[in-house]
This record gives sequence, C-alpha cells and structure tokens, in this order.
Amino acid sequence: MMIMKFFGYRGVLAAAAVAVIAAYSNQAAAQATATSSADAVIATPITLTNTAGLNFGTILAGTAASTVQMTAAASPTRTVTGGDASLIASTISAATFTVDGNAGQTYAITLPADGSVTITSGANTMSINGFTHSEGATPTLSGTPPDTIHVGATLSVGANQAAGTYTGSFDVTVAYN
Amino acid sequence: MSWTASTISRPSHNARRLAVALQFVLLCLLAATPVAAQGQGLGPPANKGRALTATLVQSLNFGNVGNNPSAPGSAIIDPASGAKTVTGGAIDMGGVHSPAIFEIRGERLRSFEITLPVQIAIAGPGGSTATIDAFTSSPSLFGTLDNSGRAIVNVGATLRVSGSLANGAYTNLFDITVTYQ
Repeated sequence: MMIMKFFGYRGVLAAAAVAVIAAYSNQAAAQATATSSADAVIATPITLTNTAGLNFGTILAGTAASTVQMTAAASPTRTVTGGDASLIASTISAATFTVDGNAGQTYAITLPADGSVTITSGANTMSINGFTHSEGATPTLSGTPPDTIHVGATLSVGANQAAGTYTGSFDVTVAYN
Repeated sequence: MSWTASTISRPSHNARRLAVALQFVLLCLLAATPVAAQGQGLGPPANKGRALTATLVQSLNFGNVGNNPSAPGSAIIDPASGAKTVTGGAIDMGGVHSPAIFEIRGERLRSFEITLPVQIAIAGPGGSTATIDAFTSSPSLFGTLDNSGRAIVNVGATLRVSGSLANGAYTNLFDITVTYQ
C-alpha cells in the first residue's frame, strides 16, 4: 500500500527504461558456447601369431618309459633325457610365434602348465610337459620387425608306446607387464 | 493485493487520474519484469526473450583404443546411442567411453543451430598428437528447446589412430556453439 507514495513519475520512467534495457540485452544473447574435453587412451595392443607348430618328429618307442626334450630355438635339437626311446631322423620344429606391440615395453609369456597338454592318436595318448621359451625372464618388444618366440617342451613316451601320428594343441599367452 | 486510487491519502480528481495512470504503468512494469529478470525461471509465459545458454554435462571420451602399428584405424562415438565402434586396425580395448552431452536452455519451443568443430588435435605423451574429426551431434545441425526451454545436445566424433602414436592418455578441449534461429 505504501509503494504508491514513493513512486514518483520520474521513478516510473527510470524503472521502465531499466526494464527495456534489460529486455534488449537478453535479446542480444542469442548465442552460447560451451566447452568439453575430448579424451582417449591410446595403446598398442600386443599380438601373438603362431607360425610353426611344435613337432617332435619321429621317435621309436623303447621298452621303458622315456622322455624326449626339444629345445626352444629356431633350429632345435632333440635329446632323449630318460628311458630308451630312439630318435629317428625327421623334420622337427620348435613352436614358433611372432609377438608384436609397443616397442620397448616388457611383456610376459605364459606357457602351458605341466599336466595340461596331451596329444592323441586314436585312443592312445602322450603328455607334453616342461614347456620352455627362448625369450628370457623379462622380454622386451623390439617393435619392427616383430619379435620371434620359440617354444620347446618335453614329450613323455610310454614303454612300447603304440605307433601312430599323435596330435594336439596348446595355448601360449603374452601380456604387457 | 491491489493498488487502487483509494489508497491515496488525499484523493483529488488529478490525484485519482495520476493514480490510475501509475497503476497502469506499474502493472505493465510488473508484467514486463519477468522478461527483464529472466535467467533461472522456467516455463510459459515467463521465458520469452530468454538468453541461450549451453552447459557441459559430460565430456567426450573414447576410452581405450588399441592402435595397430601396421594398420591405421579409427574409433567412433555415436552421439545418439553413445556406442563406440572401431574401424581398420583400431581395436576397442574397453575403458569408459561417452559422447559429450550439453544442456541447452533458452526460450521455450525456439529452434537453435548447433555449430561443431571441424577437427581438433588431442595431445598425448612426448608431443604425440591424435586427430579427432567428423564431429556429429544428436540432434543433428538444429535443435528445438522443449516446453520448459530445455534441450540436450549429444556430440560424437571420430578418433584417428595410426602406427606412429605413442601409448598413453590424450586430451584437449573443444567448443560447441548454439545460436537461435
């Protein structure tokens, strides 16, 4: 009720002018800008490619349980480390993989655990244990060209093991440290 | 409450006329005030002439992107679905990804144009930079404020990766602009 007493003519004009200016300035703000960050983590994945299988070649079973060790090398060698099996000249190979990834970074190689790999020929089986690789305890990726990993192991040949072609598969895993 | 001529302590003919005139001006002023004072208010009819504002709700994030040294590729964030897809040698290596999300406020039911960057570089370790381009928005190009004077604009883009990029975290800023139609 008291407002009217303080509201002179000039005061009203001034207030109206302020209102008009305020309305005008709002009309002018017809554009707005906002900022976002753009983020990404870029990583070179580590990849492993199998280029050759593990091949123990031809072995003549003995009368005692035997073991044949294959070295982890580009030109591997076989050794009868137990029993009386005989090695027959044949094509052999260590398992071979290429590993690619971020140059300079160290990585870990995981090989099959003992007791986990069996090769079969029909109903007959042999086990492969003692997997080894060629790359040392803490390998480092060299980048280009990709590094090569050789994997060897020890084949257990039973006494009078049945003749046949024995096959199976195993996994090797690599991961950045 | 109402203001009438009877509140003037000594009513005269001129005073009553002045009071009626003042009452009219004051009512006009009161009616006009919400326009001038508009800023936080919502809804009809108060937001006519309201300034356009844009506020970041969530940043653009590609998460982890695998860069194949021998095959260039890209990672794409879809603005509408937020989905992340990869092309070429790029590999989706997980992590949290999201489109940028902006909240737009202004005059209800009014249309606005969305202006996006063409290309930006994001900086990573050792001076390495990656390119982000093909910015897209949802809605695309134009949006319309709803009955409350609010709209959401999502922004996606394409991250280019190739063999020479160093591994690590990359970041930069980009702007979007909205303009009344």
